[in-house]
Order: sequence, then structure tokens, then C-alpha cells
Amino acid sequence: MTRRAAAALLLALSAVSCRNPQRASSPATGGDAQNPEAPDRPEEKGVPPEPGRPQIPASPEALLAPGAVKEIQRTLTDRGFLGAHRAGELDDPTSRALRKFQESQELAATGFPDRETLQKLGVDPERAYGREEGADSD
Amino acid sequence: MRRGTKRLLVTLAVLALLLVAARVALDPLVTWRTRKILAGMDGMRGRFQDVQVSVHDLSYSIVGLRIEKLGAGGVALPYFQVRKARFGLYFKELVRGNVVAVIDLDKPKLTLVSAKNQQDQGVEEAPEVGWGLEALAPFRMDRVQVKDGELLWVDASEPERPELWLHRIEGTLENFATRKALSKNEPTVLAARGVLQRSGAVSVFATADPLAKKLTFAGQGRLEGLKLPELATLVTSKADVAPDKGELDMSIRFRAEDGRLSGGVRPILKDAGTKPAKDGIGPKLKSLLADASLEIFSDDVPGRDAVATTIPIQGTVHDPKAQAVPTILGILRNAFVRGLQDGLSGLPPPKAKEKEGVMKQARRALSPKRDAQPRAQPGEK
Repeated sequence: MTRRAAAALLLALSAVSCRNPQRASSPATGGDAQNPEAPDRPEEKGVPPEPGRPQIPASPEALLAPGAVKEIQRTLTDRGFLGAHRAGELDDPTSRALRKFQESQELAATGFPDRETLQKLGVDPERAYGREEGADSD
Repeated sequence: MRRGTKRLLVTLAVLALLLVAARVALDPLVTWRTRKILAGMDGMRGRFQDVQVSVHDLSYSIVGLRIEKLGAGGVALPYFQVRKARFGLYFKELVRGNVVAVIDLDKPKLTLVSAKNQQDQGVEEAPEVGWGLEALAPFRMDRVQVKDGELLWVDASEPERPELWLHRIEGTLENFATRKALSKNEPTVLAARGVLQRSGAVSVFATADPLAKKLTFAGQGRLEGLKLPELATLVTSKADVAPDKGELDMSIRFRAEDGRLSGGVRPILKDAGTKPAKDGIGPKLKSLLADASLEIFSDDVPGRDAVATTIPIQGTVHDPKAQAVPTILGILRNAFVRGLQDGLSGLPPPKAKEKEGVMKQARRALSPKRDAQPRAQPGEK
């Protein structure tokens, strides 16, 4: 009887440890502090790029060229829309600042730097999306 | 010389007169065309307050557009309305020989009613509005902008008529399969935010390949801080319990490559609790069991009782006529429904037919199968 109870206890402990990966990770307890509740990481990058086909990213950060977020943040700061933020990351303050700017320009306040928003910010969309070479094709 | 000057002046005067006449005739002409298109919408009735044409910025606007669905017995149901829909052309692209247009929708509202009767409105009809709007403009759309939009979904198949209300929608859709987008090899980009019920902050981002033979897209969505009591009517219509406290967060990532769909939904319930939705011992027992199961599955972060799970998204999109944007919106809707169902799947937990031993309960808890959760045990006789 005691051996059976010990086995059950062992199984219960194993069950608890097996269930841990499914639990909500908390910023307070570590884990992915940037995006604690994001689903599987491989989905972030979207569809792998193929020659001659457009890039199909799953997140706004992946759509923008390296350095584009910093340029957007600099422009937003210069215009007084953005205060403290994490440089180079499309974080909450940057997204909020973009929304404020979009509202001021009577654009849809999505918090995403779409073409119209970039043009009104004075940021070249072709450069921000990393398509400077393709811009001359038409 | 004098005769030549006179001829030139007459020609210029005639041209000016023609231009003025054309401008004067433009408004009635566009009004007539708008009425004709609205009258041609099958099973629907459309009306509007005014049509404005601007030669200055190459645009025309419909003010106070209202489209109603004609139900059985001629009953008109609200379907789509917009305070102002503006259709404009990009002058720069026109100079380059590309007819590229933009739609701005100010305060649009779409009402979808799901009913048992297949003839009634359903979510699958949503693209009709898009096609109808596109028919109003004689050119291809490259950018759609929505400001302060609303989407109301009513489940008329249940007597409680539960509603899901997505409002304060701000969204953009850029780079359709126009020559401009194709020549630049750009993806179609969808970005939107809104509020679900009264408290849930929703954000969505997705991109799609407009050239792919089979649907190819990727994206992510997020719902934060939705207070569960706001879903009480919806949950009560499906179960005898109603959430009386707690919050729901949800993340989704998805991608479809050449029609193959994959991704995941992660609903997280925080501090959730339930109450019986109806009188009687049955609903009270279910509520107690639900609270017990939420307690069992909650994590141990101090000050928070969160229950999380990850639901895989898998499948294929075979329909060759399927379009990326309606498919993405369908995936998001299904993900929310599945996430909500799975998040609340312990309401109530399945009940074992007969009392199970500790070993059997532990085996269920260890099983990798999602439906093998521990079961509520029948009481002692």
C-alpha cells in the first residue's frame, strides 16, 4: 500500500513537471521577458523567402529592414511623439507614438508603420522595407 | 492672324464650356451609377445621403451609405453602413500609367448574424461587402483604410442571441495584386487594432504573397485583458455556467505556405471563476467543478492564477478561389472561438463514469493527448 502511494506521488510529481511547459510563463519568473505569451518561435519568421517572391513575414519587425525601426524612432522623437523607448525595437512606447502620429495625420491608428505613415514621417518606405533596388523596376 | 486668334479663343471657350458642362454632369452621373450598383446587389438594399466628386484630388465619396440585407418577408436587417467611403486615385501612379486607388472608410459598421437557416446572414458573406465596395470603384484597389470601424456578430441560433462586438477598429490593407505592387515584388500587408467587447485590446498583423498560386501568408494576432464576464452571454448559451471574474489573453501565430496551414493559439485565463447561469443543483455543481478544474490547472505565480495551453493550427486551404484576406480573417475568428473553447474547456471538466483510482488519474494527467485531462470524480455513495 505504501509502495503504491509512493508510486502515485512520483507519477503526480512527473505530471506536474510535464505540465510546466504549457503554463503561462510570467515576466516575474523569467522566461521570454519580451513576449512571455507568444506561441511557437518558428512561426515568427513567417514563410521562408524564395527567389523572385516577396518576403512573407509574420511580424512587423520582420518586415522592416535592419535599422528602419531606429530611423522611425528618431523621427518620432524629433517630432515630439516618442519619449523613453527601447532603441531598435517596435516596443509598446514606439507603437503608441506611431498611433498618436497617425491620429494627428488622420491616418488609421494601427501602430504599424505602413507606407502612408512612413511617407508622412519623411521616412522612405522603400528603404524602410529594404526594397531600394526594386523601387526602380517600374 | 486676327482670324487665327479669334478661332483659338472660340476653341478655348468651347473647351471651357465643355469642361464646365462635364463637371456639372459628373455629380448626377456618379450618383446614378452608385444607385445602379447598389440596386444590383442580390438580396440587399442600399441607400446613401450624398455623393461628392472631387476633380482636385481625383476622388469621389459616398456619404451615409447604408446596405441592408433583405430577410424573409421583406424584413430589412442592418448589414453594412459607413459614414463616409472615399475612393481616390494616386496621382503619382497615374502619371506613371498605373491606375492605383485607395479606399478610406470612416466609421464603417458590419453586422453579421449567424442563424440556423442557411439563407440568413453568415460570416462567410463578409467578403461580399468588399466586392460590393470594389464594384463601386472602376479600378483596382491598392490600399484600404478603416477608421473607427465596428464589427458586430450575433449568434441568432441561440435563444440568448449572444454577441461579439469588435469596435474602434483602425486598420490598413496595402499592396493588393495591382501592377504597382507586383512590379515591386511586395507582399500584401494587413495591420489592424480594435477593442473586443468593452475591455479586450486586439491587434493583428499579416502579410500575404499576392502572386502565389496557392494561398501563402503569415501573421500574428493578440488579445489582451478581455474581462471574462463580458463573455457571459456567449458562454451561458453553450453551457450552464457563466464566467463571473477573470481575464482572457490570447496569442496566435499562423502561416500558410502553398495552401498548407500551420501555427498555434495560446489562450491564457487569469483569475478565472464561474457562477451558475441557471437555477438548480446541476448548474451549481457544474460551476463548482469548473472552479475546481481552473484551480487544478492554474500556475503558481503569486497574485495570479493563470491557465494556459497551446492549440496547434493545422490544415490545408484547397479552394483555388480562396482569397488571402477573408481566409486570414476566418482563421482569426476560428482561433478566437477555439482558444475560448479550449481556455474554458474545464467548464465543467468531463466527469468520470465511475470513481477512478489515483494511478488512473495520474495516467490521464501524464498523457500527451489533449483530451486526456483529469476527470471530475463522482461523489462517494
